[in-house]
Amino acid sequence: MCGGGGSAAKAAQQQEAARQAGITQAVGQINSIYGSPQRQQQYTDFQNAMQAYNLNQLDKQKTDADRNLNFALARQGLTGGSADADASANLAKDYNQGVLKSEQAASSAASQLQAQDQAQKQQLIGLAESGLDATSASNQALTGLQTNLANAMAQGQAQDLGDMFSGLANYYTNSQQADAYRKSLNGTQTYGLFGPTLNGQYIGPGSLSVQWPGQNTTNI
Amino acid sequence: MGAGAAAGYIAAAIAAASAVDQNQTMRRQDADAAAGIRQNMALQQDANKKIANTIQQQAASNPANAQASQMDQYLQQLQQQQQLAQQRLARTGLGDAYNQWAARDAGDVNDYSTKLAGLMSAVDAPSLQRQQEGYTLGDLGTELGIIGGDAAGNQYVTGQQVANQRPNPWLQAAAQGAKAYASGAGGK
Repeated sequence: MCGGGGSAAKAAQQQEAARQAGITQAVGQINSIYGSPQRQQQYTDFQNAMQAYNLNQLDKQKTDADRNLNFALARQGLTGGSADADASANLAKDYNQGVLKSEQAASSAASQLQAQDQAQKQQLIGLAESGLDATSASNQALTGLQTNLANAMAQGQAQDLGDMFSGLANYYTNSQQADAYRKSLNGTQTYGLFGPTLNGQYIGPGSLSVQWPGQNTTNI
Repeated sequence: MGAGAAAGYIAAAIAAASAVDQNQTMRRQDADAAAGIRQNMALQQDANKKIANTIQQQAASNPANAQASQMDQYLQQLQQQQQLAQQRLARTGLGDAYNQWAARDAGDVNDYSTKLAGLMSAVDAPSLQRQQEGYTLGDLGTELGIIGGDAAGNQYVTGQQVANQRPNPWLQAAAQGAKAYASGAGGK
């Protein structure tokens, strides 16, 4: 053992060298994790899933809108006319807007996920670097955890496209007003979601005998 | 040999003893400091191991488990609510056309719902995965905090130990006294 603090200095040098080596190795590993092809694939998969989910919603809305428009135009006697063409064009525009909006939402969500990973990467590097100064490391980690959870909650919500075909609402409203007007003239009132007739027969109170699962037959 | 020379020898001997004492004190201080640093090195290695474990967990982390788990939950919910969802389609007595279309639509409902569950679980999975990763980082922060506390405590104790390693005050006082005496005796 040498005098003048030799062994302590040597131990401190060893500790610092080990710490530096550990940090260098850890930072390299962390960078490779967050830049790995697997991680990149996760962003792509997420974006594709989000896009497919949005398009699924959009397609369902379009199917409903197509059907409603057909009925509405037919009720008003506008099928095959210029109004039909205009409404169909509007519906196509709304659909295209929905496609773009869904792509935008999916892309934005994937970017958010990437940004979140970048923040997490920096946080992990900070933890590795801080080493034994772990009081600040702990604080940093806990603060980062809150950020992660907040981001995760925001990300977790599947994006809602909203009603993409609300622009055609006038047709339905006009059509239903006309329908109600006709019925008031005829003195009849119908119930149900699918219009006044089924197989050409009037459906009104008491006109149908229905067997609900697990229940007795009832007249509606 | 005169009194002055004797005083000089005595002063030199005491000074030598004091120097040895000081040197030994410094060695003990050095040894204590080195021991403290080694203890902190062990703590550092523990911290490094925990960091390495966390890095390994992050490297192995993927959304597949979260997606499968989420999908199971969605399918289970759909299964539980299936009867109510298809109650209207299951009505009877409405005619052959209705029966045919209802049977086909019931299949559509199942396909649509399963597809939706798959997409929703795929959308949810990365967030759930990162939530779990966040918990892992939080755990690491807590563990490093504990290690840091241990290291700070160790540093404090080591500092106290080093500070308590002092030269023998009596020997130092004797050395100074002898030196002063020898100077006085030599001057006569």
